[in-house]
Amino acid sequence: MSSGSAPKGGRDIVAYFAGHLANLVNGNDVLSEREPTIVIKPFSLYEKVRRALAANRRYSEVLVGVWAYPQPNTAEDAADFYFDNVLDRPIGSRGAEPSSADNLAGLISSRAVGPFPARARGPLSIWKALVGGATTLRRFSEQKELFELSNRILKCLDAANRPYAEVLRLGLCPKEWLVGDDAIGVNTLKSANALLKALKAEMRGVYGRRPSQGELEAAFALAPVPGFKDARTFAATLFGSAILTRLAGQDETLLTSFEAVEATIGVEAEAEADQPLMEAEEAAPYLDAAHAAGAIDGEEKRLLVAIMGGRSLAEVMGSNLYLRRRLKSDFDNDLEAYLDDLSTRTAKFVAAAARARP
Amino acid sequence: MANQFNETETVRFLRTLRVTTQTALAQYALQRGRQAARPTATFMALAAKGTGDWRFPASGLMSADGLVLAKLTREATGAPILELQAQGLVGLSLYASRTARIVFASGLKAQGAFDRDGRLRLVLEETTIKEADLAAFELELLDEAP
Repeated sequence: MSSGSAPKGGRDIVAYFAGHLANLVNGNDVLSEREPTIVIKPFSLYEKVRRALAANRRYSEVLVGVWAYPQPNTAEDAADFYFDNVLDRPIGSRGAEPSSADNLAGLISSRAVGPFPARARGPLSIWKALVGGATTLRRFSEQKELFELSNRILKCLDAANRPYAEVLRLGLCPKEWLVGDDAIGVNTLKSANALLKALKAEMRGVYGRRPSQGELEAAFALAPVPGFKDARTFAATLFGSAILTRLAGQDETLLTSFEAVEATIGVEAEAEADQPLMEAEEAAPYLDAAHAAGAIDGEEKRLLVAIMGGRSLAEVMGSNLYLRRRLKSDFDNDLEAYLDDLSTRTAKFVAAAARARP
Repeated sequence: MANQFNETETVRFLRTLRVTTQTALAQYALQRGRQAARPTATFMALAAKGTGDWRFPASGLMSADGLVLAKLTREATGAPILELQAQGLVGLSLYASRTARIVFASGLKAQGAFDRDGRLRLVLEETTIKEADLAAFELELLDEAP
């Protein structure tokens, strides 16, 4: 069993951000549980979101990737760009099916109190799905309802955040490669990342230099980038040259960020799943198995059952002396680190058990 | 039992685990901030060591709830400037764009507004306040959350 305070992984920060947005939309930062409705105030919500993106270090470093923005850009500039190009990025639908943003807008509209104007035609963004319809909503009072709101926001983020995260993963600035004449399509970005991964393997961890022609060709043979006939052609383009230059200038921040950013987009199978969230009873066998195998202990299993069943974290932790002691002794009272560790242990066990299935 | 898990249901479980735990954490952080939103936050320096006058710590003074850091700088004229900066997501959610009043131990009061980045800058009159007066003070929010 691992313990200790680990930095929040990239995979979790996207889900945390979705949960944060859901809670802000639901007014959980200012309203008591007794308030039945929430009035959506777009500018106030915008200020809270923008401020969080600029000032929260984990958002700023992993989600927004402020390290990739050259001077004189500031954390505020990067947050603004992230807002415009991720949160307010139109999300297209696949075929005749509604997009993830349409589904989010549908959920918001289903909570409307009184009449509201029709939404504008065309693809919606996360932001427009949240604030472009009804202004007064019945609050998502049941925890299960709040989880569903968070889940729908996360589905949108999985789509809208992808191109941005792919540019960051290359070590490049989204402002330079996501918009304008040099904008690169998401499929090329994905291929370039596969090439970069192969190239890093060829370079055997010795970065801070340009790869040799042999290393570049070997990597390109393993992970070619469509539209470029060979490694030399790719490296000669502005885009290829930028990647190799960034690789040559590797620093610790960038290396750390590569891993974290990669984790934000390494859940393709999960993102494509369009099933509803599980009920607590459906999840119970998985938690039982994780407990039986020793991946989590009995009290930790009870904690996860309680969270999935809709009890508040404050209530569960407040009533469990064992968990509070463990939190203090092993995680220095950092509840986020403890829950991330617990969630990671559980997920690793369940994923491995499913893979081992005959 | 584990080998009975099929791929679709496993994906559902992993998604549910991820969404529920992270949403619960975000909710916990925001509600903790709301609970911490008492009318006043107190700043209290440790007892001074040594024989000289008490000096405001260069690293700043943290409020008792850990949500605001106070630092002391000076204008070119020498007038003291008390800079308050809300800390973390919870501090920012609570203090940004809010009007606040500082009440010093000497009874002197000063008022200002946190900007949208959670920063409040108060230029003080050197003739009316001494550095030692800044060893203990209270921060009081005057308006409702936006």
